[in-house]
Order: sequence, then C-alpha cells, then structure tokens
Amino acid sequence: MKRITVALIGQPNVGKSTLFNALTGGNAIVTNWPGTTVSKSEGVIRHCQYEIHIIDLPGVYGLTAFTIEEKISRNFIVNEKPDVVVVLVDSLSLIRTLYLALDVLELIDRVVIGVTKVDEAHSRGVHINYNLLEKQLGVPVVPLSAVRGDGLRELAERIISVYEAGRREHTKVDYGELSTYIESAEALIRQCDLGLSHRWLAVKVFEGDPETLELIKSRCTSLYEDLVELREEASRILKVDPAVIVARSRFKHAESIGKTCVIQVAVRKKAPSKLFYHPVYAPLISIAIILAVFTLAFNLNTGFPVASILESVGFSELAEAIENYTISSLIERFLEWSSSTLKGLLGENAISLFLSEAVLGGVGALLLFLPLIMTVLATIGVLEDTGLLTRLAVGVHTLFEKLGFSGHALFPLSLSLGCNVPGLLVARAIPSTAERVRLIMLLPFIPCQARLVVLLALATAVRQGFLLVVLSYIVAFAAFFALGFALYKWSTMRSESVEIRLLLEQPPLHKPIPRVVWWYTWWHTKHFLVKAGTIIVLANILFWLLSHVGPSMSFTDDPGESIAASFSKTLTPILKPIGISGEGSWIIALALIAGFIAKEIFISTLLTVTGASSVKNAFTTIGVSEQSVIALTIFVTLYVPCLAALSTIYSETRSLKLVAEAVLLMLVVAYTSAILAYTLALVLTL
Amino acid sequence: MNTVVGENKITTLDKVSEGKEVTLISIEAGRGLLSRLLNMGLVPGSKIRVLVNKGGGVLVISVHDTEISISRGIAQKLLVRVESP
Ligand SMILES: Nc1nc2c(ncn2[C@@H]2O[C@H](COP(=O)(O)OP(=O)(O)O)[C@@H](O)[C@H]2O)c(=O)[nH]1
Repeated sequence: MKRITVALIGQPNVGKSTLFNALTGGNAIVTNWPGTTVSKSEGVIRHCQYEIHIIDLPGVYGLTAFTIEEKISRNFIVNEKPDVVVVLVDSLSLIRTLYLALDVLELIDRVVIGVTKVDEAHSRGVHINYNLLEKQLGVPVVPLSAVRGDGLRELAERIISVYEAGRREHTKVDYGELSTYIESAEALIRQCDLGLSHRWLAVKVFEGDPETLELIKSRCTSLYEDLVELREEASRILKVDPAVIVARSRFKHAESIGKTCVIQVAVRKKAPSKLFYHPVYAPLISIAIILAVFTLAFNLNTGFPVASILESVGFSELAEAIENYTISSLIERFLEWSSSTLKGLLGENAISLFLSEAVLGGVGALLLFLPLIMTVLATIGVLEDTGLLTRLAVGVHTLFEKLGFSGHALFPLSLSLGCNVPGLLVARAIPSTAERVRLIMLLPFIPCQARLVVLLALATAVRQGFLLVVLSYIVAFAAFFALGFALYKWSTMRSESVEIRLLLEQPPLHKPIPRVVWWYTWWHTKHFLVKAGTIIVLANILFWLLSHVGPSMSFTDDPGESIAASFSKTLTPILKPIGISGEGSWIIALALIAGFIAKEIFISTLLTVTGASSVKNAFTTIGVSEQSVIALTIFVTLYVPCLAALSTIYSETRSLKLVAEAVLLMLVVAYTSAILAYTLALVLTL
Repeated sequence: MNTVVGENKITTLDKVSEGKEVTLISIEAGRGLLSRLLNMGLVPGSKIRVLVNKGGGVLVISVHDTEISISRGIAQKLLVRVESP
C-alpha cells in the first residue's frame, strides 16, 4: 500500500464539507490543528494499491493569510507539503472560485481541480467544457456531485495519476504592470532558497501576506528591507496598492478561462428573495423563523413549551402523554433501568455504586444530552444547508447592531441554545476581535439543553412552572444583550472598538438535502463528544468521589459526611439573602457546586442527598419556599454553565484572566438577579 | 463624495440605488479587510449589481454571480463608477 497525503482546499460554500463526507463516508478523525482549537478532519479512502489520506483544510478565499483559518490552510499547503492538493471550485460560480485555484496552481506542482455541484449546473444553464478547462489549467479537472456521489471514483484515480506523474510547470498569471517588479523580487528571493516557488513568494510579498514577510524576515534577513522597498516603490509609481493589482490580474486570468470554458445559457434567474432583506419585515420574519424552529426542536427534546402550556390550561393527560415520549424522558427511563440492573447484578457496595452512579451517571449524562444537542444541531443544519441561516443573520443584523453585535453573532447564539461549547467554538468566525471577545464572555448566559432540563425539573416545584421557565429564558437573553451593549459602549468609550461589520456570502437558497444535514449534525456532534464529553464524564466521576469520600479519606455512603458536604456547609450564609437557611441548606450549596461542574448533576445531587422522590419533595424536606425556588432557578440559569464551557473559553482565548472575569461576571449577575427575583416574588405573593 | 467625471459619476457603493450596476474602482480599507474583499471577488474593475439598498441597514450585492451582504460601513469604503445609460 502506498500512502498519499492529500490536502482538500476550497472557498467557503463550494461544497467542501459535503464532498469530504461523501468521500470518507463520515468516518473522519476529528482533532485540533496544533496550538489552536480549529478542528481538523482527516479521512482515509483506499483505492487500488493506494491509501489516500485526505485532510480537510478550513475554507478560505485565498492563500494570503490574515485570519487563523487562513493561516492554517496556507501553512499546511506551504509547510507540510502534501503529496497532492485538491482544489474545489464551484460550477455555479466558476470564475470567482477559480481565484483560489490559481493561487494554489502558482505554488504547487501536483494539483487536481474538482468542480462541485455539477448536478445543479445544468438546471442553471451552466455548461462547462471540462477538457478545455483541463488544458487551460494544465492539471486534471474532475466534475463532481457530492450529493449524487458522482465523480468520487474518478477523483481518487486522478489523485493517484497526479501523484505518480512528474512535476509540471507552475501556472503563470500575467500580472501586467506589476510584472517587472515581481521579476525583480523573484531574482532577489532566488538568492536565498526557501524551497518554495520563487515567483509565488514574490507575488505574496506584493500581496502583503504576513506569513511570507515573516518567513523572509527570519530566514533571508538581508533581503527583507530590499523587498519591502521594492513593494513600496511599486505602490508609489503605479499609484495602486500592489495587492489590488495582484487580485485584479488573477481575476482577469480566471475570467479569460471562464469565457472560453463556460457557456451560460440564459435561464430565468430567480430574483433574490428580497423578503429576507426588507428593513421592517426581515427582522420580524427572521425572529419568527428562529423562534418557530427552536420551539419545535425544544419540544421534541423535552416537551417544552407545548406540553407545559397544555398542562397549565388543564390538559394534563395530554401533556403527560407528550412528555413521556420526548427524547429526554425516553433516555432517562433507559438509564434508570440500566443503573438498577447493574446494582441488581453487583449488589449494593462501593464498587457497584461507583460504577452505576459515577461512571454510568457521567456516561448517561452524555447520552442524555447527545440527542438533545443533535436535535438543535440538525435544526441549525437545515437552516445552514438551505442557505436560510445567512439570510437570517442579515435579518437580525440591524437589530443586533444597535446592541453591539453583528449578524455574525447569530451562529454562535443559536448553537449555544444546544450546547455552549460549539457555540463558543464558532464564535471564532466573527471577524472583529473585540466583538468576538464580548461574545465569548457572554455566550455562557445562553441556556443550553442541559440547563433547560434542570429548569424544567425546578419548575415542577412551583405553581406557575411554565412561566418560570419562560421567565428564565427572558432573563438570560436580557442579561446577554444588556451586558453586550454595556461592554460595547465601554469599549467604544475607550475607543478600541471599530464599527460593527457584516460581510457574508449568501449561498443560493435550496431545499434541504437530508444527507448534508445529517453530515453537518454528525460533524458538530463529534466535536461535542470530543470536547465536552470527556470533561462531563470525568467531572461526574470527580464529583461523585468528592461526595462519597469523608474528610478521613474513607468511603461513606452518607453524602452529609463527605468532603463536598463539609465544604458546602461553609457556603450556606451566601444563600440567606434568597431565603434559604437552616439545617438542610448546605444541600442546596452542594447541588450548586455540582451544577458548576456540570449542570445536569444539580438535580441528581438534590435528589440523592435528600433521598426525595421528586424535586418538589426535596425542597419541602430542606424547607425551601416557593419564592426561594424561583430565585434559585434564576441563579441556576445565569451562573457558570459547566466546566466544559469554561475550559473552552480558556482554549479559545488562552487567557486565564478572561476566564476569571467571565466567571466573576456570571456569578455577580446571577446572584444579584436571584436576590432581585426573590424580593420581587415576596412582594408579589404578599 | 459625488464627483461628476464626464458622463460617469464616482461615488461610494452605499449611495448606489437598487438595481443599478456599477464598476468597482478602489477600496479604502485596512490590510485584513482589503484582502478579504479582494479574495471574495470585490476586485477593482469588477461589475457590482446592487440588489438591495434600502438607504439604511445591510446592502446586498451581486458580484461574479455571487450574492454578498455587506454592512453599510464597508460599502462606504468601496468607491464605484456609475455608468450613465
Ligand atoms: N446541488 C448540490 N449542492 C451541493 C453539493 N455539495 C454541496 N452542496 C450545497 O452547497 C452548500 C455548501 O456546501 P458545504 O459542503 O457546506 O460547503 P463548504 O462551505 O465548502 O464546506 C450546501 O447548501 C450544500 O447543500 C452538490 O454536490 N450538489
């Protein structure tokens, strides 16, 4: 077996993820790019005597690197020297997407061009002469349809033939008036061999690629000044930024190829659906759609809000029927059954308790949330695949803008409703650093599915449970936006912050493709499993140990004797202002510590320690009033989501200070809101 | 900035009304934003069709067969020529 390493690169929306999934059948290994939290997918396909390793690079518009994603893609191609580079171009906008291909073709010998979405090209009146395109580009061109599975085999064959074939001449783009300068730069760079195409490096100098300039500065120090000088001279004499000339020339080249190889038959072009861009309707429609789809997803997961509404208007039997068949209750019943089966098999002892509660509890928590999160992810997957999501982002932009966020914030916000961890991760795509940091600080306020489950359980202990959950969501979003606005104002006062920007490609709208939605869901789920999963399972085990080991390091099955309990007892005075005091108040403190680690163990801690059969009974046992439960619910909504979210904040910012600030902010906001809620509840019920 | 040069009008993209097609002349933006705009196909010389411009909020344009939405602040950085019919 010969091993071939292939880098897969393409502009955003060309259909790269879809193709990658079609090629690997979803069997990819997801890791992180070294030193970053940008995820890296790697898959293997076997063809004839070859093992083809495909590495999916982040989607980029060009190889000039300013963002993290651009740096990763550029540096992988430049430094890791994959055997073959597959560049994807979109048959529906060939010229624009050829731009990246030309950038790659100037640098790399072994390239295969994949033309995506050809299934749709015909209906749009696009006809491409692939043979001619192949001739003009000088490398194999393969028409592909990931959704139909066309061309996948041929792609593998072409990768192999390019791998076996010898070198080829690099493509040369005519840079017009900049040519002489590029040649001079090339001659300079030739004096200091960097093992890369001299011409490409020269072009990158004129494009102002920070990575290239850095490389030359460190490895060919003597040339650096001369090259920068040359660049400035070109800029002075040509009176245009050389980066603009490079881009323009590359586009011209792409256009001339497009002119000869593509025939566009006039078909009636669908007018862009202006509805989504209307200044008044668009924000309303966007918010209506977002509310509708998430209500649907939430309902499928937990029965909230439909079952709760039915319950409150008196149809409790119907409500119960719905609740019994929500995803969360089905899984819960399964977990209860397996835990009691395990205890039955092993008998009641420390080991069986450890296995059934700590380990199975942790894995169970994960199992419980996986489908809940997957429903939310699938919902977003549909929005994303159809092209609706970017329209919705425009729709909310005008509203968000007033609050200090851009429409880009919609992606992390909606993911956070599923789980904060992927939400925090996609915040990376926010172009403005200041806005991104603001988002990372505040996303944890958005209640995830784990919190929803806890909120619903707490709601069973009060009379107007449904309203309490709705109120919690309102408070959470209000906190998010109010603090966002305050932080934004604060940073504009320190004149750090720039304007709120939106720059988004709007892919064509189409019906959802189930397979693509599934791949999207699975891909993000894998992330959740890798990132949050490990922490949730370990945290559960840790917490179980802390609450089952006494100060003398011996096992105890009375949680009241444990290390965790003695620590919680010191915390009880904090609970006084929300009306929780007395004998059992340490149990609430303990549950809150549990919830700090992972929200879902808040409820199980409450139940196991009190030995109560329901949350309501647990509160009665401890002596917590209804008003205090309301305050507690607000507190639980707003304080730290879980350790996994905190660790993600750290890995995304590499700043312990920021994590500490975020935690402090959450605790302060949660505590004051809780006290406020308690006072209000007292006033209202008097 | 509205200068009349011969028959053609030079202006910034945010001032172009819906349905009009203009030619991009130059971009006045910092390195990072400039590079992103260029790579997305907003290259001087490109034809830009303004699909949506309500005089406030986000603009939607079509360039090289791609729909792109851009905030007004960015549109103000794009200098374009309106060809007279
Ligand atoms: N008709 C058609 N649409 C496709 C194909 N591959 C991807 N798409 C659509 O193109 C859009 C972008 O695809 P995606 O894989 O997310 O693009 P990426 O940003 O390059 O990873 C999605 O809406 C897909 O449904 C294909 O082979 N045929």
